[in-house]
Amino acid sequence: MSTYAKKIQAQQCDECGAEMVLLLFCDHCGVDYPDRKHLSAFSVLGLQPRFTLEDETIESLELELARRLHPDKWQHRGERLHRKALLAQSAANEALEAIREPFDRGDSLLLLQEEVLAGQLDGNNVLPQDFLVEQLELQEEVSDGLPPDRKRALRARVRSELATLRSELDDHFQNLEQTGDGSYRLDVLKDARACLDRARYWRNLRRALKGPTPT
Amino acid sequence: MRIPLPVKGQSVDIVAGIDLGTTNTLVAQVVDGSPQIIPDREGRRITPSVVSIDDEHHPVVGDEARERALLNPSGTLWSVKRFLGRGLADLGEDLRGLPYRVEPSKHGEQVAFRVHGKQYLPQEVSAMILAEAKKRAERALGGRLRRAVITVPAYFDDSQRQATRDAGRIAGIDVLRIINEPTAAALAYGLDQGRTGTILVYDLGGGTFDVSVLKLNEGVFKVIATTGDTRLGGDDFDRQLMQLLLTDLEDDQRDQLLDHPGCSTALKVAAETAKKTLSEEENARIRLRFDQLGIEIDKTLSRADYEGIIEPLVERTLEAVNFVLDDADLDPEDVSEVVCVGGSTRTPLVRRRLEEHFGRAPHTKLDPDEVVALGAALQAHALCNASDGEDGTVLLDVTPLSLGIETYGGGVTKLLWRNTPIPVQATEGFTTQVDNQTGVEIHVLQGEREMARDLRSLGHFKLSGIPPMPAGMPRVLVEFFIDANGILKVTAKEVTSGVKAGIEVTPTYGLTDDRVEEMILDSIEHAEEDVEERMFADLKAEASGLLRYSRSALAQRQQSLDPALVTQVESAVAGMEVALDSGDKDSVEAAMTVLNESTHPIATQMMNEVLKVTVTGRTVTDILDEKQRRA
Repeated sequence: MSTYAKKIQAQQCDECGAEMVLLLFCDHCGVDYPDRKHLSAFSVLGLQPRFTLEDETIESLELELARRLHPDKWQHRGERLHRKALLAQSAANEALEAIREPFDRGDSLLLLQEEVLAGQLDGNNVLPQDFLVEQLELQEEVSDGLPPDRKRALRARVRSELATLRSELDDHFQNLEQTGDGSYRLDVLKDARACLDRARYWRNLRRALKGPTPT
Repeated sequence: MRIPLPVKGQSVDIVAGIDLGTTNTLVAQVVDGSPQIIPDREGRRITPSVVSIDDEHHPVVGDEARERALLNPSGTLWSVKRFLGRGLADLGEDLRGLPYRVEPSKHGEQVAFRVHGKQYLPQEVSAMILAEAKKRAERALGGRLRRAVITVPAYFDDSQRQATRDAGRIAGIDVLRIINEPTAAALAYGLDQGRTGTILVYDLGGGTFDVSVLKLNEGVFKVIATTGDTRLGGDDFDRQLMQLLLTDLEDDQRDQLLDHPGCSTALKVAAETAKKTLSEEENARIRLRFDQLGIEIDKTLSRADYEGIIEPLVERTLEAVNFVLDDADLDPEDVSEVVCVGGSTRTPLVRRRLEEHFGRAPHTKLDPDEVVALGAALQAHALCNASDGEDGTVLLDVTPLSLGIETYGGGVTKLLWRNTPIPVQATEGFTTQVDNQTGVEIHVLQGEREMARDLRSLGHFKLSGIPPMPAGMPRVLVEFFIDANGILKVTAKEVTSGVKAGIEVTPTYGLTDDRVEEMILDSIEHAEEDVEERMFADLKAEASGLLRYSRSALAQRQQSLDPALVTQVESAVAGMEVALDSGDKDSVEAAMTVLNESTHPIATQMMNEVLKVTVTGRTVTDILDEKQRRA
């Protein structure tokens, strides 16, 4: 039994009863479940929808998925199964990407909520003007090219802003787990949305600070 | 498993790893569990990636092609890999000083070579190199090479990967997988054997530079970040040295020299030789005399001079190293292994800088020129013999560049970010702008910048067959799928009606599938004829080419050649004519060996005449010979 199973809720295949690593495809009997495609990234991977998730858990899950589903392993099992495994691995990769980074994970979690809240989170969170103005200025500064020490300083700033936002999100999501329904819950969700929106700007900046790629 | 002996009428199946390099091409296979380079029947381990096409459009590849460069400068193509999947605008500086002609092709924006009035695409020329490497391996082992893994620089974009795969297909090879060179190198070092760690692969070849960070965890490899420069390599070291050799000349002399195909080739060889000498010795004296231009160069360079001029280039590689570490969120201390790949990592300055940077000596045990092919062979073997058992290495690769589509106003929507594990798919919905619109065009782009104009265009996808509906009603779902080779496939479906939309792909820098099919059919390689027969047909074509070359060399050089040599070549030519008429394979082969040997001194003599080059006492021909022996 591999280590991943201890941390992750096991799911059984409806057809053969084998333990599945990905809800979409049973690598034991080769049955696929196309109707489960609409499930969230968390469900597909058999994970609890939680913001707190160890990097190690994701990594060991990723390895297990690759070991069992990677199309290279299915080369000699016939065209049909090979294709199924290819799609399964690809879906697994897509799901992993949606939850790997904490902020992406937050987005995925809110997406789950939004289905329930039917758009109440959308458009209600206009970020403060001064925040947006600063972001615009920083973006411009970066695209004009920065001297090395300014670049370093700005990188450090981005790191710390993101760390702060991450811990705020941690609090919000923990709050959510302890709250029932009601208007307080909606407020917490809105706060989380605002954190994620800010994070998006900082992450864009981080990306801009890394590139453009030297070619 | 042992190397199966060739049995007449029964052919051995060779599953190969091929390193299709800018400068050299190598083929390897796994024997008894360990990868080995397949030398040809003459014992040569390397096929130079050089193709010489004569005026009857017969191509010669490898060492022979290089020898013919002087007689046929405008028909001898080097560094073809630089042109794969590229457009004229991408090449810029690379186009200067080329003895052959590069022009826009008839297929999209990619370039082509014009040789003796005919256009050749980089894919076709690369296919010639692959076909030669394939043939050499087949002759050496008496088998048939049908399946192979081919390597590409990790930073190759979709067009370049497609072009590489197409070259393989045109050469009659079933391309099992396109894998990244650094990954192959890590495999060759056996770094996958049950260890955990972070590996940095530094690959400085002839024409490309790559640096990648791989994460290894219980036999699963994952490329977590990769970057590079498709226009930086040992050739640039040569170019810097060439500039250094030219410093004392007048501007117009310099231009004259660079524009003269024979002389610029000679200068390049001299620079290459000086580079090698300076990797081993402290000083090199370079003397060149170009009688036809009345130019003479006599310079002594020290290793410090050399390191001074290449320092900025090495610094550029270290910037990329920092970039890739940054991308992977790592510090140099986090790297547990550094692997050196590519001939240019023999340069002492490179190894020194790497050791300083990481505080540990890089892996250099395997021949840096061979590592990639060896790793590719391991992967080919694994792919053909994989079972669903727990052992065996799985490669988890990532997309090297983000993929997006052009939006209204020249912006771009990113569909898949850089470093996303592959295979992966992304689905995007489209709709129509006007009533009863039946087609939609999508422009797919690759790269990291924000505006469409700054990104690399991969192609235009035209969706058609959308049922007539009011504007905004149709929902066309387009699925972008990047397979395990890192190559993009696009499919589309109209959801409201369930109609599968037709999709027409026009690659910006590549060939359509139909065109590739045509080229495969054009090439003589495709036919499932008898192996023996096919080999004989190839041999006869090669022999005829050699015959033409020998005749023209004799005609052009008769006056200046040693009469004894002339007689010798003439009789070898006659012998070849007889052998070809006889239709007997063994006699043709024997005649070829004789003719090859007899014409070799002509090339040598011509080299010496044109060049009059010595580098610390060694003549260029000494060095070329040495190179051949080493190879």
